[in-house]
Amino acid sequence: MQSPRTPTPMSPRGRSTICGYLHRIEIRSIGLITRRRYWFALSDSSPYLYWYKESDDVKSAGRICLSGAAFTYDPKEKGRFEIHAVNEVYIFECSSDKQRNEWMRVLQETRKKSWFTSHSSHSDASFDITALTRAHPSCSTPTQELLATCTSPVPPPRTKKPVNEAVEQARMSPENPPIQVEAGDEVVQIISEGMSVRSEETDSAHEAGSLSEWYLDPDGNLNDRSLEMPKRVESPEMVVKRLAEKTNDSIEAPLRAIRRNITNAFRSNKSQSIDESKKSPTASVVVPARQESSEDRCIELTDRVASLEAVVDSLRNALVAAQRQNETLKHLETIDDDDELRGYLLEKERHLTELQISCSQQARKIRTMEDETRKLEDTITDLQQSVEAFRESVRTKEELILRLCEEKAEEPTSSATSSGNVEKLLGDVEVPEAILIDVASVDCEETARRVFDEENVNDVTELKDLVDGYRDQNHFLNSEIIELHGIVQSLEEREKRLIRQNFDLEACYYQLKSRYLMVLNHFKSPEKPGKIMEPGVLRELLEESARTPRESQRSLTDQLGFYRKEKKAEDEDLLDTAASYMEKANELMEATRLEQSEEYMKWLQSWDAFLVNHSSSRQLLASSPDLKLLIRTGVPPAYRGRVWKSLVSFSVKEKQSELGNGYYACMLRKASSRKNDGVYDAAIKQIDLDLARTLPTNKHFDEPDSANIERLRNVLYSFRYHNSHVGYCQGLNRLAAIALLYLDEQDSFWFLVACVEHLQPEGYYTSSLVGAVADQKVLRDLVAEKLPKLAAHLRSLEVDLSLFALCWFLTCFVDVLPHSIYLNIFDVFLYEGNKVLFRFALALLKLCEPHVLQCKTIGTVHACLSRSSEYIPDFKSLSQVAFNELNPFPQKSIESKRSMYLAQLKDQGHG
Amino acid sequence: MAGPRDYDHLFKLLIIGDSGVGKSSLLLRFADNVFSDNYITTIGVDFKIRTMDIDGQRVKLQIWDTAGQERFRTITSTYYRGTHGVVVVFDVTNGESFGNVKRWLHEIEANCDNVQKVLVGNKCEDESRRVVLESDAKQFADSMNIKFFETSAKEDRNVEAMFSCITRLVLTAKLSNPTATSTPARGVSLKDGAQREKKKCKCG
Repeated sequence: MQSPRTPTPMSPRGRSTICGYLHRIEIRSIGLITRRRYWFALSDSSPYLYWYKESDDVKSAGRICLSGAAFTYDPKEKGRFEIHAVNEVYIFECSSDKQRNEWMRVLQETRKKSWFTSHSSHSDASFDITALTRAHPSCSTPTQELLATCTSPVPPPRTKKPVNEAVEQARMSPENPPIQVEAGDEVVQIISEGMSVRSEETDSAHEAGSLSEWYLDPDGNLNDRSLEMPKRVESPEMVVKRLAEKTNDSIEAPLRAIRRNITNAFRSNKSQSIDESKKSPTASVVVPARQESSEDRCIELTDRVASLEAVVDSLRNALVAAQRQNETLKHLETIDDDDELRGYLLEKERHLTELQISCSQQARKIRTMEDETRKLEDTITDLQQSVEAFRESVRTKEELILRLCEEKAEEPTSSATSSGNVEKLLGDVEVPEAILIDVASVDCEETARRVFDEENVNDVTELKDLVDGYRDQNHFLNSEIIELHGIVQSLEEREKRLIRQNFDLEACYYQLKSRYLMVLNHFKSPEKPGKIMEPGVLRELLEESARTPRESQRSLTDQLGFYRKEKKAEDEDLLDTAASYMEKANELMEATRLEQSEEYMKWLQSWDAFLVNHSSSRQLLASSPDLKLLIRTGVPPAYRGRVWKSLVSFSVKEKQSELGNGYYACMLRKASSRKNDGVYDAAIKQIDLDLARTLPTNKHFDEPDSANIERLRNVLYSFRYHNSHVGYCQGLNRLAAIALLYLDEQDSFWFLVACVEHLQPEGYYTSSLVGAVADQKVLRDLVAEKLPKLAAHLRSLEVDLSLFALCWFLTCFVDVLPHSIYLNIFDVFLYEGNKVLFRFALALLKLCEPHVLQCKTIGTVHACLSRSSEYIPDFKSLSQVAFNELNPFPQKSIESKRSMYLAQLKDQGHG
Repeated sequence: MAGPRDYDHLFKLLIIGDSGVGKSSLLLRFADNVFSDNYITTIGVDFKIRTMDIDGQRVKLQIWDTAGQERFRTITSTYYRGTHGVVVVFDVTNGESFGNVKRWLHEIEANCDNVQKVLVGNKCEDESRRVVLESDAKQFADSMNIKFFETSAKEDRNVEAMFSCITRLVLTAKLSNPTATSTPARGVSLKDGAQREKKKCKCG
C-alpha cells in the first residue's frame, strides 16, 4: 500500500517534497467528466508538478508549471482543489481536506522557490527548466556566475519549523473541529464515498504532519478562532423547517415508516405516547397532521372506556341490589322456618348471580375482541399501503430495468455485461422500510426521534464545518493574494531593471559605434587630421578593447573547471583574431540555439520528471527499461550530481549498509594513523606521485595544494585501505577526480568502490590487471566480429589494439575523449556497467574506421586514434552507434569470452 | 599520407624507469618540444614518432613510453619485443628511482638481447632537491658499460643530445652488424624467458 509521503525534510537543506495519489478531474467539452487516479510528485527542486501513471514510473503523464500559477479551492467540495496555470484550470481531488491543505501549502512553497530560482537566473525564459541548468557551459557568463554564487546559500529552510510546530500543536490541541458528514444529506454522502477510496492511505505520520497551516497565526501559535464555535448559525426552527422540506422532498419511504411507527406506538401505549410526544417538540412540530389524527382517536377511545366503566358500575349496583334482595329473602325464610325452601331459594339465587356475572364478563370480552379486530384492520390497511408503495417502487425499478435493457440491447457488444447489470439492479431494488418494521415495537418512536435529533446535530456540525472551511479558504486566498502580489511586484521590478540595463547597454553601444565611425572617418580623410578626432578618443577605445579580452579570460575554463582549448593565436593578425572571435560567437550562438531547441527542452523535462519522482532519499532506483533509455540519452550536467549519487548507491547500497555509516571516516582515520606511524607503502607513494598528474586540464586539479587535490588524496587513501587487494592502480585517480567534480568526498569514495567492485569485472585493477588484459582480448574478438575490415587492417599493420584500448577500459575514456563525451559515458557506465565500455570502444572504432583504414603505418594509426575525438562530434552520435548500430550485443558472449581468456591467462601464470 | 619510404632507417626505442621520473616529459620534449608541469599519468603504453638526421641519414624513431607502476609491467614487457634501444630513466631528486635502475636493466636483459642502452638522470634542473650525485650515477653507468646523461625536460637540457646519442648507438650497431637481426625470436620462448627472469628478480 502506498502511503502519501508528506514533507519529510529530505536533506539538511530543508527540501520540501510531497507525493501521493490524487484524482485528476477533467471536464471535457461535451460535458463529460473524467476522474482519473495518478501518482503526483512535487519537489522544490523543480518548478513543475508532475504526474505519473504509477508511483515508480520514469516517464511523466503530464505536468503543470507552477511559477505563475494560482491555487484555490472550494470548502464545499471535500478534498478538491484547483490550479490555474497558463489559461488552464486543473482540478484535483485528494482523500481529505487535511491532505488538500498540505498539498496547497507545498504547492505555494514550491512556487515561491521556483520563482526565486527563475528570477535569479536572469534568463528570459524564466519559467522554464533552463533556469535549473545554469551549469551548462554556455551559461557561464560573468553575471550568471555572480548570480549563482548569490543564490547558492539556499533560502532559509522555511518548511521545517512551521511543520514541527504544527505537529506540536496537533498533539496539544484535542483535534481539529470534528467533521462528521454522514447521514442525512445524500449529496455529501456520495462524495464521501468517493473520497474514501483512498482514505486508507492516510497514515498516522501524515495525520500529524499535515495539520493545516492556517490554524496558526503568523507567530506559529494556535489561532483561537480555529477552535471556537461559529457565533451565529441559522435558527433551529429554520434548520428544522429546511430539514422537513428536504425530508418531504427526498425521503418518502422513511417518512411513511416513521408515521406508521408513531401511530402504532400511540395505539399500543396511549398515555405514554402522548406525554412523550408532548415532551419532544421536534416530533410534534414535524408531524402535526399525524398528531392530530392520533389525538382524535385517543379521545374517542377514552370515551369508550368511560362508557364501559359506567356499565360496569351499573351492573355492580344491580348485583349489590340483588344480593340485598337475596338477603332479605333469606331473612324472610328463616323467619318462616321453612329451611329447605330457603336453602333452595338461596341456591337458585346464587346460581342466577353467577350467570349474570359470567354474562357480563362475556360481554366485556367481546368488546375487547372487537377492539382488537379494529386494531388489526388498521394494521392491515397500513400494510396494504406499504405493499402498494412497494409495488410502485418495483414498477419504477422494472421500468428502469426495461429502459436499461433497451439501451443495452442497442449496444450488442456489451450485452453480457448489461444482463449482469440488470441482475445487479434487481438486487439493488430498494425495499421499503415498512416491511421490515416490527408492528409492536415500542422503540420506534424513540429511534425516529433520535434520527431527527441526529440529523439536526449533523446539520449544525456540517454548517460549522462549512464555516470553518470558508474561513480556511479565506485565509488561504489571502495568503495567495499576498504571494502573487509579491511575485507580480518583483517581476515588475525586474522588468524595470532589465529595461534600464538594456538602455544602458544600448547607450554604450551607440557611443562606441559613433566613436568607431569617427575613427574610420578620420582614417578616410587623412588630409584633415585632428579636426574630426577628439584627443583621447583613440586611447579610450584602446582601453575599451583591452577590457574585452580580460572578460574572456574568465571563460578560459568551463563550468566544471576544464580549461577550454585555446587555439594559439601567435601571430597578431587582426583578421585572424576577428575570425577566431567570430568562431567563438558562433559557438556560443550554436550552444544557445541548442539549449533553446525543443528537443533539448524535452530532454531536460524528461529528466526533471524523473528526478522529481525519484529524489535520492525517497526511493532507490529500480532497474527499468525506461530508465535505461533515459540514461542512455545522457544526464543533464545540472542533474548529474544527484543522478550519480543515486546510481552509486544503487550499486553499493548493500555494502554501505553492511559497513555502516561512518565507514568512510573510519578508513580515513586509518589512513592518517598509518601515515603518522610512518607507513609509506608503494600504493601510497604512487598515489602521492599521481595526485599532481590527475586531470591537469581542470583548474580544480592543476594546483598541487588545491582543496580538490586534498580530497582526491583522502578518497584514494581511504580506498587503498578499504580494498587492500587492489590498493591503488593508476587510472583510479582519474575516476576519483571525475567523481569529485560532482560528488563530495564520501560519495566519491563510494563511487570508486562501485566502479572497482561492482561495475567492472573482477581483477581489473589488481596487481596483475588480469581482468583488464582479458578484456583486451575480448575486445579484439569483438572487433573482428563487428568491424572485420578494421580488424584485418590492424592485423596487417601489426597493431595491437590494446596499446590504445587498455586505457579506455581502465579509465572509462577519461582523458581519451573530451570531457563532454566521457562524462556521458560515465552516466551510462554507472547504470549498466562494464559492458557499455565495449559498446563505446567499438563505436569509437567504428567512427574512426574510415580514417584508420587509410593509415599505412602503426604510427599513423596511433596518431589517428589519438585524434579520435575529432571524428566524434558529440556524445549523441557516439551513443547512436554504440546502442543502435552495434546490436545485437549479448552480454553472455562477452562473459563467456572473458572467462575463457581469464582461464588462459591464469594458465600462463599471468594471474 | 606518408610516402612508401621517407626515411632510411626505422628504429624502435623504449623509455623505461620508475613512475614519475619524467619519461613522458622527456618524450614530449623530444617529439613535440613542449613541457608542462601537468602531464597525465601514462596508462599502459604510449608512443611518439620523430625523424632525426644522423650523419646525413634519415632515421625515423618510434619511441615508446611506458607506464611506471609495477602492476603495468606485465603489459609493458610485451613492448620490449623488437626494440633497438632502451632509455632507462631515473629521477636525480629521488634516490629510490636510481636504486631501481638495476632492476630495470635486468628487465631489459630478460626481455631482449642485442639492444643499446642509455642511462638518464632526469630533473637535473632541480639542484636544491638533488639526492643522486652526478658522479655516482656516472660511475654506476661506467661500471655497467652504458652511457649516462643528465637531462632536464623542463629546461630542455641534454634531451636532444641524449636521444641522438642512443640513435647513433643503434645506427652504428646496425651498420656494424647488418646481418644480425636485432629482433629477437618471437613466440613462446621469449615469454618463458621473461617469466623465468621475473621470478629471479623477485627473489634477488
